[in-house]
Parts: sequence; C-alpha cells; structure tokens
Amino acid sequence: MTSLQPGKIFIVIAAYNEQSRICAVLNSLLPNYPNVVVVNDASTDRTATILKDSAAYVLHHCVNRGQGAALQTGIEFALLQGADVVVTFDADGQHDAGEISRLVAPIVAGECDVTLGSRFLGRTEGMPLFRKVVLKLGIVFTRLFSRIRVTDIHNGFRAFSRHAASCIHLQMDRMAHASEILDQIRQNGLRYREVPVTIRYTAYSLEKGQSSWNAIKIALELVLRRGVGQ
Amino acid sequence: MMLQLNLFQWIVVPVLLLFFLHSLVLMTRGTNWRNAGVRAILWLVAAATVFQPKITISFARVLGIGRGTDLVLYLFIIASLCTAFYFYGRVVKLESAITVLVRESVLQDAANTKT
Repeated sequence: MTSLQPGKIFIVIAAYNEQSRICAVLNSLLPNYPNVVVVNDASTDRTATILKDSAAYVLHHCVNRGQGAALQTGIEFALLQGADVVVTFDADGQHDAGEISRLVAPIVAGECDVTLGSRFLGRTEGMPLFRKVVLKLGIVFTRLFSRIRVTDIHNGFRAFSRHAASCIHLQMDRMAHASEILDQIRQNGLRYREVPVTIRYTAYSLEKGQSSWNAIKIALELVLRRGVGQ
Repeated sequence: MMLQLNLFQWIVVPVLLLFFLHSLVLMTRGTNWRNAGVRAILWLVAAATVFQPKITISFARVLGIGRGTDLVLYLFIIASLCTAFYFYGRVVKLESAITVLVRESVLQDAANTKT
C-alpha cells in the first residue's frame, strides 16, 4: 500500500446521546472522508433523528451495548464495505479531523499495522490536572498489565490497517475496550506506532466523557475479566 | 430420650429436610440429577449441623480451627466468593451474547438495506 484513496479510509464513530456535537463532528469529516460510519448506541436523545439525513453510514444498536461494542460493530461494517484503513474517532469533538491524514500515513506507507494517537506526544487543550494524573497512572498500569509500552492510553483516536482491524475482536463492551485493543495488538504481533495528536477538552467533553474515577472501575473490570477467563 | 431442641432448630431443621426431600424428588425425575444430588447433600449437611452443632466443632478441631462457628464462617466466605465469580462469569457471557445478537442484527439490516 503506497497511496490510498480517501474512499478506502473508513472513519468509525460510536455515538451515545451526542445530539449537540455529532453534526459538527460529521461536518468536519465528510468533506474529506466520505466513508464515515456512525454507530448510534441506542441513544435516548435526538441523535438518531439528527443522523437520519446524514450522508454517513448510520447503524443503530437496538440496545445500549457500550462504546467498545459499538466500535466493534462499526469496524466489522467497515471491513464488509471493503475498507483498507479503519480510523476510530470520538463523537464528542475532542479529536481533530485534520490530523487523520497524519495518523493513517504510516499505515498507508506499510510501516505499521496500527497507529495510536498520543496526546502526550502531541498536545492537549484544557486537560484537567486530575485527568492527567489518572492517565499517567493508567500508563503505568498498562505497562504492567498489558506489557505494552505506550505514552497514552484510552485515546480513542486510532487507525488500523485492514489486516489489523480484522485481527481485533473486542469483547470488552464498555470503556475497558481501550486496554483490550492494546492487549490484542500485542497478542497478534501487530506493528504499532504512536502518532502525536491534539485532544481538546471542552466543558461538553468533560461532562460527556468518562469520569476520571472510572479508571478504577476499568482496572477492576480488566482484572476480574482475566480472573474469570473471559 | 426427649429431644432438647431450641425454637430455631424446631423451625429450621424441618424446612431444610423439606428442601432435601424436594431435591431427592428432582433427582428421581432424572432432569439435571447431578445438580439436584449436590443440592440434596448440601441441605442434608445443613440440617445435620443445625440439628447437632457439635458436628462442626469436631470437624473444626480436625482442621485445627478450634471453633465450629469459625469453620462455618470460613466455608461461607469461600462459597460466597465462588458463587460471586461464577455469576460474574455467567453475566459476562450473557452480555457478550447480547452484544453479538445486537451486532448481527445491525449488520444483517445493513446488508438487507444495501440489496
């Protein structure tokens, strides 16, 4: 793979109650990337109505299954549509659509199978100190638990080659999927690289996104799931 | 010899024996007889220990624990943890199955819409 049409790049977004942001996010993506897959994870607000007239592919989960499950649905759909590269992108406007080309470039060049956005190699806007501390602790936990060296975890801005996307089978339906992706990268021997990206924290994204305290819940879930062999 | 039972024993022992008999009936019906058999044993042991608490003291001494109450407490903690892990595993499996069903349904709908 040396060059890639934007049409072969599929952007996958998991959306749950994103009525106020999803339009702006899609408007930032669709002009350059026509293949955007939005998985509406049984939103209870007007997200489904807003998406009705969208040019994106819209899939509706009939029951809320969590971000990990929604991403897996979107990834499988993208692969069925013939995607060469699958990019996961947050629905709350934290990510910059302008950075997708930089994120997919190493995959297009055949240098790696997965690229992981890193806010600590790139930059952040408005990140609370507590969130930074929690993320740094998470990095240490991931190094010990997943045995993979990365500078950022739980960054939803990633890109997968077709091969890598077909190797990823997320079982963690909710937020722990981010750690599971790292586990599966290592288990499948996928070549990965971190790419500096920008994460914008806004009042909306901080309110909408997961609480920093969720980190404890995620860590516990990872340990328990391993305990029961799931 | 007159039975020296307290009120708790008079109430609980017959109830446990009824559960034991119920499990025996389930065993004879043949469906899931192993589970019914395990339950029958557990009800019988429970009835016996309530009826004659000294049984637990004897076992506790054999195991070097000392008090029968402590033995019961330890067994209860171990059984609770095993049960919690068992049900956690079951819930995880059920959740995964629901996700697979939801996903299959969505992907099938998408394929049908395309055709």
